[in-house]
Amino acid sequence: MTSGRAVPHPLLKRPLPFFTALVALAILAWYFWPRSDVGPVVPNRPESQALSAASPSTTSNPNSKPSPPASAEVSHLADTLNSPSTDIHADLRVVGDILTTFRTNFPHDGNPVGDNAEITATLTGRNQLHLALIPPGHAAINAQHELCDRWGTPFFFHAESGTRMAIRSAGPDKKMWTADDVVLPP
Amino acid sequence: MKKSAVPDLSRRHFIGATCCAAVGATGFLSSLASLRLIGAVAPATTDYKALVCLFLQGGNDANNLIVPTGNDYAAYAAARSNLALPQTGLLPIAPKTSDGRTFALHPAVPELQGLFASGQAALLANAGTLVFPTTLAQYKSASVPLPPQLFSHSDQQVQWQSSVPDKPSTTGWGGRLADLVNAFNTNNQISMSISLAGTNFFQVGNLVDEYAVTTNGAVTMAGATSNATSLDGVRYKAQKDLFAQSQPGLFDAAFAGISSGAISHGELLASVLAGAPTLTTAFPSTSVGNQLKMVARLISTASNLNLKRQIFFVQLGGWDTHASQLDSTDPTAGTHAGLLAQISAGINAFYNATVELGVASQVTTFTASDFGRTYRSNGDGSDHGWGNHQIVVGGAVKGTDIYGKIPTLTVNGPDDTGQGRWIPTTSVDEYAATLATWFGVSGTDLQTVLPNIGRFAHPNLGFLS
Repeated sequence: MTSGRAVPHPLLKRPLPFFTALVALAILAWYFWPRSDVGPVVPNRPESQALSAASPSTTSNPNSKPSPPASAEVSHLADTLNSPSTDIHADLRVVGDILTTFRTNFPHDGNPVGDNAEITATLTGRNQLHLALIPPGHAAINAQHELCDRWGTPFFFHAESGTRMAIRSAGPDKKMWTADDVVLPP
Repeated sequence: MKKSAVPDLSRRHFIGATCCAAVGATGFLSSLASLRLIGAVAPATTDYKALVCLFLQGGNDANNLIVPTGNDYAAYAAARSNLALPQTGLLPIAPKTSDGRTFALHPAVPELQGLFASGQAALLANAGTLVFPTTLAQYKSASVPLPPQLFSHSDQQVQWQSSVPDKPSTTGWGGRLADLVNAFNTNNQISMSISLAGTNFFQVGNLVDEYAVTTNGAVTMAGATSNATSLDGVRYKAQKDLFAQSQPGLFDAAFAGISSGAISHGELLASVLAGAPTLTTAFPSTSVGNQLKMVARLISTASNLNLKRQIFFVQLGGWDTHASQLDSTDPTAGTHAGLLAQISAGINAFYNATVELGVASQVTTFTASDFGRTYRSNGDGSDHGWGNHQIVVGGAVKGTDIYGKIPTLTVNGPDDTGQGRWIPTTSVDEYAATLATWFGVSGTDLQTVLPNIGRFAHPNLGFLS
């Protein structure tokens, strides 16, 4: 038979620091636990594909080997590009929105790089996700695989930064750097 | 019973002792770091050296700075079409080493031609941002990582100035170099990193601050005057007194400290510049001329400020010429010719000023730019490229030579990624390492300044003695 009070466990002598640390650990674990409810969503794409678009660094090489666009990837972002019912300003906004969507899906890479043909190739699916924001057979793409304005002149892409791309149309005179050029941003 | 050799330690004693040890170790490690810094700049000398970075913002088309002549001219003219310079006006050069091809300089740079001929200028061919040495085959197969956002202005400017293209960097290689060699500057009274072109990434360091001045000298507060009886003088003194007072909060104290420092540095520099010798060398009245003239004046005051190492940043914009590169009626005129003429005359005057000051062999000027430009004309001008040629000038330069390798000047040739965007054959790291080594950084400490230098074969390109 024992006499006197039982010696409490050291942790129970001062429970407050112990439980504070426990709570802090729990909060940290909750904060850093991988979550599946975030990530950019591509228009007209199944959510599972959009989620996979967020992670890899995929487009740093503008000359990476062509990959066939995935048949499931159907984007309607370029549907109104060069449409008779719109104008060049709307066209430039469409191309600008396509670039924005591209950046959303490749946040580590920013804009596609290179000249018009390389940028067009990237936007038509030559990227690791086979993400074709412009259908490869779009009427705005010429025989040299360049994206053209409504007068048939390739757009001029001016990379100011990884997230800023000026887009220039030569306008109806089809001659760059003249008064009728239209540029986004103006 | 014999007492244990290990003293009884309570938790309170243990924590207390640990804190004391940590504080003591801090001082020890700090001393070690200082010793390391001093050791890094071997040998310990009392000499003066300055590096002057002339950044050509926008992307210089150096394909028209160094032009192939002789048998290669026809191919040049065909590829560049409307951008081609007439062969008759080109300024011939005779590099000490030759790969069999002959070259000449743009007609707008006669001063540079003279410096090259007399041995004070060298050219560095096809330098650019690289993560690893890269061949065309590797580029095509995407088998090596490339610098992100090639051909983008701001990204390539930052990568040229940080020399760390493969990861986000918070410092420039000039700033890291200053952090390392600032040990030379005992009791210096202003920063060794001075910019004539405002804030820039190149000079951002962890320890040494950038100090921006104008072509007129120190930036002082509006209305600053030593006339204590004038209204401005009373206000100026009141502002200084306010900043000098003890501040209650951290932000207040930091703001007051920075403001006080700026005021005192400005006053000191203005005073020192007022007593500086008048340079007899004439500088052109251009942006580059005025910036370099102030750099020369600052160099003349270095000893008064206890500065034995200085890094300057000078910048000229406007190189993103696109359609305005050449005059449509005279290919030797136009925006590009004007810019080249400006840097040629400015660099020449600056070199002459360093001769006048007796520090020509202690000052090295070098160019950098966002990127090169496409060899093939887009019909109007040139577009964003990659590898580019650079200029190095100074008394320590082993001049009259072209370092590195001028690419095979063929569109879709072995050095071309398309449109005549040359894959760099010399990395920014190698270029910077050569300059840093001349500045006093030992081989073992180069990686502190240039973390990726170990990936490249030539940490010293040999253009400086």
